[in-house]
Amino acid sequence: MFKRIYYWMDQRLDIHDYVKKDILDKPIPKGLNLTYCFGGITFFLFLMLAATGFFMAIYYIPSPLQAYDSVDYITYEVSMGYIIRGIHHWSANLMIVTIFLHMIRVYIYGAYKKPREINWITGVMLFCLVMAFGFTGYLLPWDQKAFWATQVGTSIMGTVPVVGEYALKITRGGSKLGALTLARFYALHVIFLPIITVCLLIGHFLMIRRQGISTPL
Amino acid sequence: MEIGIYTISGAIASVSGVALARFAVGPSFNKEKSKWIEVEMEDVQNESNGFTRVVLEYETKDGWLTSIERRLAYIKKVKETEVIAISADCTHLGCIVTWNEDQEIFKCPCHDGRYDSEGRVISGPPPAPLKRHPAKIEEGKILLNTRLIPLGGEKSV
Repeated sequence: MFKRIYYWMDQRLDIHDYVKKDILDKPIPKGLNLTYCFGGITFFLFLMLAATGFFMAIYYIPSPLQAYDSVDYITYEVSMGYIIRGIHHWSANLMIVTIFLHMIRVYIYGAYKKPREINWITGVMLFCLVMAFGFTGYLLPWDQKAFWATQVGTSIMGTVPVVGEYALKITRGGSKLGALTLARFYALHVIFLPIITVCLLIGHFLMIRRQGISTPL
Repeated sequence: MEIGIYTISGAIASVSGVALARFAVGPSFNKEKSKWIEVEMEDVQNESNGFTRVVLEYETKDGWLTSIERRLAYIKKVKETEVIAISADCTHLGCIVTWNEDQEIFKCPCHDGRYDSEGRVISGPPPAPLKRHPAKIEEGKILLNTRLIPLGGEKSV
């Protein structure tokens, strides 16, 4: 069945050579170990986060009056809500761990060196994006912990010389943390950051395919 | 031809870019509006009786949301035409200070910060004197501003 669909598509698009050579039959170099899995695990967690996040957006309302109640509703009333939110929560936590381990592995093996500098740079950008995901996502439940963590986090932003005050006000959408902050954090968390992340991930993967995995010495 | 295409795309990109940037910044740099609020005359006692606690209740706008904000202040008439209003928010961590009539000090229950009757720190952790609300008497009415200013006016900071 699937084979027939595949052949039907191949007849029209002529994709077989490309799929076979460039996607499926790419041999990995010898001498790799389990630490080479951390990048892949991070990507897997990203996919889990995306899937559970899309579905939570069905119920979540980014407004100070309703955010907490909608999260409560997702967690305790929607079927499987506890599981979906739990997966999102734990994947987010684990992703910080695995992205660190991935980065440490790349650093220790010197895999960031020429010719893979651009990949290292996109990787660092992705790391920053993951941190931004964490920071913006933390506010969304709109409980005491979320509110005060963001209060502290944005205040730290305000201590940067010269530009700090502007950065703080633009981040909060005013001088006080409130409805505008929640709305813009939500927009960043579910639209802006995911789009930028996917673009960088495509670059990250295409480059590693083109250059090959750096092998241990 | 080529220059024309670059010019047009450049123009579209920069105009929409500027508009989007301004849109994203939005009301971030708007000044907070302050209001004058009338306080019931009967509540306010003369100086000999110390401070009276009043509640300032007013509407605030947070983006599209309108909510009621409440603040506590201690007010006292110093002359027939002059009134002072000291904010009850402790400058340490924002607990509500109480006026102690016997000792003539403001005490904070959280970490034992103490202020004198002018709001100056006597002891404890508070880093600054209690803030003031601008206050005035007009046509026999006591008006308090929702804004907070430091002791000694805004220039003292």
